[in-house]
Amino acid sequence: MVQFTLYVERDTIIHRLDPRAKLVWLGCFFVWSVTFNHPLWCLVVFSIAFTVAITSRTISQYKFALPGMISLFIMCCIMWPFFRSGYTPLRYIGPLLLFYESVLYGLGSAIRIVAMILAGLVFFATTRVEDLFVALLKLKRSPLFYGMIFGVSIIFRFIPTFFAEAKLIMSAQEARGVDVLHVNLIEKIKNSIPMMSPLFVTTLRRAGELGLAVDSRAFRAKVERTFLYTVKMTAKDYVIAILSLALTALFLYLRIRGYGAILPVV
Amino acid sequence: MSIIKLDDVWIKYRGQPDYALRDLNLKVERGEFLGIIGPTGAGKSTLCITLNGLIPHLVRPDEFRGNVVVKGLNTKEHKIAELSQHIGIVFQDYESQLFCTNTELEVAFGLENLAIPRDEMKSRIEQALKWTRLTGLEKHYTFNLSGGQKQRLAIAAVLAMHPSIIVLDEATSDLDPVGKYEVYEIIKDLRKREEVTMIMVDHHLDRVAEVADRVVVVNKGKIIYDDRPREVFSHVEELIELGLSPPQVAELFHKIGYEGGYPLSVTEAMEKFPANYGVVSPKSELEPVGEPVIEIRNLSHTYDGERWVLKNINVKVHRGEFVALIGQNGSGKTTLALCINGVVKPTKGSIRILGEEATLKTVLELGKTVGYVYQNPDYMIYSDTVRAELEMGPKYAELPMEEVARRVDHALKVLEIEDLEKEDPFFLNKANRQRVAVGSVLTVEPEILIVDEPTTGLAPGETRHIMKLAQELNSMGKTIIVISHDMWVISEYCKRILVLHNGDLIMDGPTREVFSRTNILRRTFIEPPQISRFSQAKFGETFLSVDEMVEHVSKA
Repeated sequence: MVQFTLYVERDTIIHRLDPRAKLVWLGCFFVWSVTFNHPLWCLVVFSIAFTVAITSRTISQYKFALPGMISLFIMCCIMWPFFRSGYTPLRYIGPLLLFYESVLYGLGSAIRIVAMILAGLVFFATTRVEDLFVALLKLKRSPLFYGMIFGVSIIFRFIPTFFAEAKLIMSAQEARGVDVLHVNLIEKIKNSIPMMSPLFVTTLRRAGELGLAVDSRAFRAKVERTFLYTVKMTAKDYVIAILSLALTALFLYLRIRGYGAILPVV
Repeated sequence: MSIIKLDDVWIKYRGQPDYALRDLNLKVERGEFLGIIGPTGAGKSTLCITLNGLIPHLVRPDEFRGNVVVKGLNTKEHKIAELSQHIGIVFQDYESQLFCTNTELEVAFGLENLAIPRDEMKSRIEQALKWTRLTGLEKHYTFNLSGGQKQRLAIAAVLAMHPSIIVLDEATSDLDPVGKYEVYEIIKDLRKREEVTMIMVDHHLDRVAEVADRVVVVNKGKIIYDDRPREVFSHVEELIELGLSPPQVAELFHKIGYEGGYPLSVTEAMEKFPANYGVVSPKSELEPVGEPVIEIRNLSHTYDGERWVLKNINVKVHRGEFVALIGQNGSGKTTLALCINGVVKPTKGSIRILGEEATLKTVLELGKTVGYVYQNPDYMIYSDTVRAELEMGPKYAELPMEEVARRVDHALKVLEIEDLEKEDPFFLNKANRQRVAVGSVLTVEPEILIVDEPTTGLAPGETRHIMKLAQELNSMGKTIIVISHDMWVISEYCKRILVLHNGDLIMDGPTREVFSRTNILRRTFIEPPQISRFSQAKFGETFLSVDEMVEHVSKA
């Protein structure tokens, strides 16, 4: 069966953590990633995400993202040195002068962007989307917020249906003579209308029917609703959250004191 | 006091010249099973969504007059959420009524909204899943369920809310025979277990006759008959006139001039059929066969490298044949059809189309020879006028403008949609959109036409129209392959049947021969049409339509 979700069931400490504790960790991790730009310090931050990924036994889930992560890494290494100037000239590449610090900054940026992606992947591979929604709803109880969260959860539900339909529509149009593969760019754009338009119409019709079905099942009947799934912050969740915040404070302090930066920018 | 009462209800949608419901009066008693039948566009679905307050609260018509009172609550004065505790509704499209990621959350959705305590919620979910035979699938992702399971889940989600009225609005239309059977079984079980009032809209009138206490016939927004099934189905001519198919045994008794109440089931027909009548055997017509246009040899296919969806299929289809491809969802019939039009490249084996190896050709190349009409016409239609839609295929083939115009004019004429050529297909009803979809393939003038579930959700009259069109194309020498779950359609129009079961081609033969082998068909949950079952049981002969049997029956 096609797997459309990143989540994978494992019995690990990372899986057992409350989604809110993991959200705090993820938020803090993004701050840590942008705190340092020296490659060695960035590597320290990356190693935290990597350790968490190994502990959660979910590495095999990220295969699909590997080509993208490698391309991003290479692009950052090549592009950033031309956008940040340093102090120690290395050599000219064409008319552009390359600095030693800029090259290291590019490498640091590449490591931290990959670290952020990895942390995000770990979060979704270890957190059931259903638990995440319940956790988010516990953070803020309001019908409007619930409506927003419900809207996002519907997207998760319909991604597989959408892709299956898109595939059918593409073959239906191709069988009628619409070619998007063997033509030039302008033709490609023109020929994509027969693909996109039916997909839009089908989704639109479905959205109309969906509205009827949702309301028929007492949507927003009461101000306070109950939940089948519950999440609970335990001692270890608080420890993780507090530790993450403490580490954030420490990293920010170190950066202010001049550690971990090859260039004085973010 | 009636559990549902509609008094002088008039509804008119925005931009529509006619009323969707006009002066409609209806009472439903507690515990009653009401069947609602009528042609497409008669107002059946409008009636359903009026009952739970979707009209006027969510769908706001231009005009809404009269009163709808459900369990003493006037729907104008009470919110949908409040009404939904008393009345649950299951729609035709199972995809759009499941909006949670897994099975138990789907059932929990309504209960959570009603703030049911967690422990009670759990026991209600367990019970609803048990009733709908979904126990064990609690954590399954909804998108991974089969069509039948999805529709049963939609029913479970409604049942868990403990409504005293359940409305099924064509809830079995999109299902395969197994899915339909499962839903009907659940309905029967439920009636035995609970005092629940049920309202069912369905095009399968023999099923309605079997389960309903009372039937109302709606046409043009008005109730034209409201009586017990036997009385309603005695109006055979009138129902056929409306494009409906009364139970075939009732139609047979009517046509042989039987006086008295018509039977509604095969068992009843067996008892009532006049003893002084006999039949002569139908002729086994041997169709002249042209040269092979499709030759499939040793074809096997797997999507995931583990499960074989098709297993060593060998079959030849000849020019001018009218073939049905039948089997349950997952039997491999759509995969086989998609192998023929090139969308699926088979793992093993060969397909020759008009003598050339098709497995090496692209969909684009094969599209000129093999036309494919998809089940959902919306997958194919995108232009802003019907004419532009029909012009698309030949234009992509870069044909001269005169030729394009000739083909489009011809298709419009054959499809009887000349008056719609300037209309936007988006706003046409499903039957007309289906015709446009057929037309869009027709103008490419393919040698072979595959029609995948062309009749889903259409009333029998509209189904006949689409099938007559296929028949006409067939008489022009085109080879037609129809995939359908409607056995009466196959029986009346197709000359040969291929039966697939778990990837195996288990039967291939003339329609009459295949439908007479009920033991094998039963294994695949396929039930021949009522008239074939009756003629077999009574006379040991397999008739394929009521008219055919009438021609062969006479007083002994």
